[in-house]
Amino acid sequence: MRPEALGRMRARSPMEGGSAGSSRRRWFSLEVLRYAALSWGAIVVLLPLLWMVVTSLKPISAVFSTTWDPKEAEWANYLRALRAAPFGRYFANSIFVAGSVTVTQVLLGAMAGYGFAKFRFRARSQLFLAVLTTMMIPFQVIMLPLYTMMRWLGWLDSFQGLIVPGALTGFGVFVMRQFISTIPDEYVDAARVDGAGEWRVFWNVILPLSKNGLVALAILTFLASWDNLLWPLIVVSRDELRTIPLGLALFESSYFTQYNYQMAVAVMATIPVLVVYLILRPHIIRGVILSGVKG
Amino acid sequence: MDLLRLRYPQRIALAGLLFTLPAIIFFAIFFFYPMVQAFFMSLTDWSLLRPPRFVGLANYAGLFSDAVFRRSVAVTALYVAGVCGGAIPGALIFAVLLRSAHRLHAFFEAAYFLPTVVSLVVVSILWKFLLQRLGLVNLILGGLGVEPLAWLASSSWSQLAMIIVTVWRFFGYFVVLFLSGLAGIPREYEEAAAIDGAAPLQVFVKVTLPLLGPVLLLTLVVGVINAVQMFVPQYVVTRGGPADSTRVLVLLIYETAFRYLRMGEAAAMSIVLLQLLVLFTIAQFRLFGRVEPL
Amino acid sequence: MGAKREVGLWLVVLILLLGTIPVARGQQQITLSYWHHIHKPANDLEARLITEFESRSPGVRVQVTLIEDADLNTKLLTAMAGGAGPDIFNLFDGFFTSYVTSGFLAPVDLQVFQAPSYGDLTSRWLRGSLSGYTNRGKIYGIPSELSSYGFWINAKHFQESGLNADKDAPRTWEDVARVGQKLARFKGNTLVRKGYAQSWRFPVRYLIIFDAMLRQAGGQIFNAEGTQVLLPSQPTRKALQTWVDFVRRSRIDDPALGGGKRAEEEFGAGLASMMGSAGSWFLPLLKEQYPSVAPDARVIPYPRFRGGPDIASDVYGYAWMVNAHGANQKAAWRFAEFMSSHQRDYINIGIFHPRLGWFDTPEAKNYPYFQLWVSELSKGSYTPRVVRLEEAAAVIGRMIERASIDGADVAKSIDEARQELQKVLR
Repeated sequence: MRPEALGRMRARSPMEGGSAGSSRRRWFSLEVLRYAALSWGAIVVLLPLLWMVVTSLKPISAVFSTTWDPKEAEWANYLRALRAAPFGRYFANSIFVAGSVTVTQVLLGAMAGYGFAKFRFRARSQLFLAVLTTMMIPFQVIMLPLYTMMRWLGWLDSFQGLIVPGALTGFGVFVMRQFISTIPDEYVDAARVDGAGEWRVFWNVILPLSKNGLVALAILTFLASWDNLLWPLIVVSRDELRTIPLGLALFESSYFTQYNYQMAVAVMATIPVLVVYLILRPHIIRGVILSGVKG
Repeated sequence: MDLLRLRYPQRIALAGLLFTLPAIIFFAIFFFYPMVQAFFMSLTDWSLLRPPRFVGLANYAGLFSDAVFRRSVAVTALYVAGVCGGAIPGALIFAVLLRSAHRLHAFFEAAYFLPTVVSLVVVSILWKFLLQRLGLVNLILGGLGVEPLAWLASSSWSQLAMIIVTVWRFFGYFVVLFLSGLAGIPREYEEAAAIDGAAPLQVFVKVTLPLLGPVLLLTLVVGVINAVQMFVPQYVVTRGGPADSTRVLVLLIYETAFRYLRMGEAAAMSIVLLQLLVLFTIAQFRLFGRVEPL
Repeated sequence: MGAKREVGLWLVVLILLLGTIPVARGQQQITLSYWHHIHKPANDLEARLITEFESRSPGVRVQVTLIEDADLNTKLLTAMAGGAGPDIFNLFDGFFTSYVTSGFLAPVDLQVFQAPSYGDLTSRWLRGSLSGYTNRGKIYGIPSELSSYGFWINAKHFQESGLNADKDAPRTWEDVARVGQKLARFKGNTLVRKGYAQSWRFPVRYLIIFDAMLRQAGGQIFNAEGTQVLLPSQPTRKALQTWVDFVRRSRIDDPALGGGKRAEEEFGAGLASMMGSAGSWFLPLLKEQYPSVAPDARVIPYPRFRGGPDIASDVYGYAWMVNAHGANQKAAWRFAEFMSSHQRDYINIGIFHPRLGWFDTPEAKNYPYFQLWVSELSKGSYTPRVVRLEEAAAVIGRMIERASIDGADVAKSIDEARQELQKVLR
């Protein structure tokens, strides 16, 4: 049953009010307060984003004014901003890096998650604990040795350097283990009885059954990698390899008086993510919930 | 080892190990080895441009007498406290409000979660603009009769600004987490308490909150670990200024390593950070009980 | 998932992974990677010069990477330390020592410059202008700029405040405070137009400006060799108090207004009536990006202290330097030689190469305020040369911000800075 329907059913529950008459009034004003609060919350959340869009269409002289005439919208700001830096390349780089990281995270995470969830082998709990520990290690601790490692490998200013250290996280293994452990063992046993090799079982049984988890993990991983600034900042110097966050940060620091262009670039960077969000929101939410508290 | 001679259960167990092996090897190379390296790096004086020189615990000793480092720890602690103290209770309240809202529920949830998917760099750039002297925030404050605030040029207001930006961005994430946690609490408990004559607030405090305990604890730990690693708002909006008031530890470590080329010192800072985090997490679990993710 | 879809997915993955394999480059082509800081007039000029260079040098391509000034040193050092540095770059002279002592720089190719010796090369330039790029008798940089800050005022603002831009132009820091108070505009208790925009937020600028003020007050940050911290109490207090007073006493400056903009940008945007952190290079930028303010801008000599020595703002420079580990050093030096030979084009955008006789060129004589720039350049000292320049600059910046923004005790801030600087020199 959908949550809204449940809510409707429970609306008359004792939580919201006792007997008739005065309680009905109390119930009504409580509801008003509730929606008022929720609406204010929505305004606080959405107003800055709206302001971002409006500012992107203003001339530089008007960026701080409160009045705006939609008829005078300067769509040319977008063109001018695009020409200021090779955002197309930054975008392509981001897609390539985030895509590669997502593929490895999902694949290796699913494999390891399956191994931890459905098998019993020696040192299993110790190894899983080690995996969990990686989630607790702040990136700051390993970023310096990782930099020297990239330097030693000659991977600075390269796609390998950008992709490989972030290719897998303990989070991915953890999430997939959680998800796969909910798959009934019978499916696995049935496939084995049918003579399937272990890899076939994984590929043809586990993966399809954990599709929801895979998609959720993929989306979360993609978004996190897309948004990463610190590691590219350390690894990348050449313009050809800059990802969107680097490009945005550089653009902001060199055009820091031109807020309309900054906002135009910000809007353009947000639109793809917004589209993904609107289409895949349930999956994203599911991923967030998976990562959080089921245990 | 002759694989074919293994008995079937042993072969299965081996397969399981093999499935986890790529991940284990990856973590060994890219997490655990660097961690060990970081520790050894912290015992050296290394400027990247010359070979490292062993100095023992001198870096750590230097850190404790370094005013800049101490300030950074204090600034980070304040920031983390502000973010978690603001986002978690706030999100909890809104989650409670939202869960019984049957109209526009999907809209509110989608709206609140929206900032979480917007790039953190974009969010920082946006808020840097909003917090200008003549920016939107001061405009609104002006409408309420408040003098414009020096958001980005005053130590205390900058710190508050960093907290506001971070809370704004992650608020929806916590709301979703709590909604899910609340949904996992059977309504019967709350209804039973209400029938017994408890007021809604009492029900919330005495019944709902304790049942949310594990969720809250995990959220707090995850929130702290993430807040400690925050870097983007401080880098984009204030660059650690003014007067080091927003120079959180990650930023200081980054600058010490890559701007001042003091790798050993930066490594020592990161190890100290790790220790503090470990201590904090242990304290959390001791104080508020265990959560079994396994 | 059907088998076909599987294969398709793996093909996509494979293609993506293959994309990382670098495609074999054409054999004859040399690509010179060149890093420069962001300064639009110079970037535009160099883009034109590069096209000309490429047409004259078959087989050589120049690929420019533009980086924000404040970040260039960090990015460059990290890249060089990682073995991934560019072939040639244009760098601020204050950073020279750290690069040359780390073995990153290649000495100038005398053959390309057709000079029999380093001494001969030095004699082609203004006396002393190559000293900042010389190490153990060898030269490692070809200067591309020599600048010092001038003091810029908005004549229209003066006029509107009942002042005369010529007669009332400030000559001393004390004048700046006095005149600034007449120029500053308030809305309620908030400053909305600065009388004098000091330079905030950019560490190296803090160092350059404060170093000059301290010299004007009779002290120095470091000794001449850069091996000792001086920061004598009395003069430092005078210099720092002057800075702080503009914010807290005469209240003609406010770090909050402008929020992260450079002082010269605030001046161009009409948010400040006076500004002292831009050199001769600022005029073309002003004309291009702030055409409404450009006609009102005047340049006057940098303020001194009343009764103090006639010392101008600090002199600094930029130079072309070549990566000692690069594969195309000869081509890189040819490129530097080519760019350097176009000094007259650079003079037209206010960037002066300290070549011998540069001030006799018609371009120089026609450049606005030319005499003033030359005179001020002759009265300034070079920015301090310490190996850890960024750290030293951060310490000075911290001292200034603590005293001005946090209201910390001036003497205490100075003592803390002195201690922190000891560490920087180690």
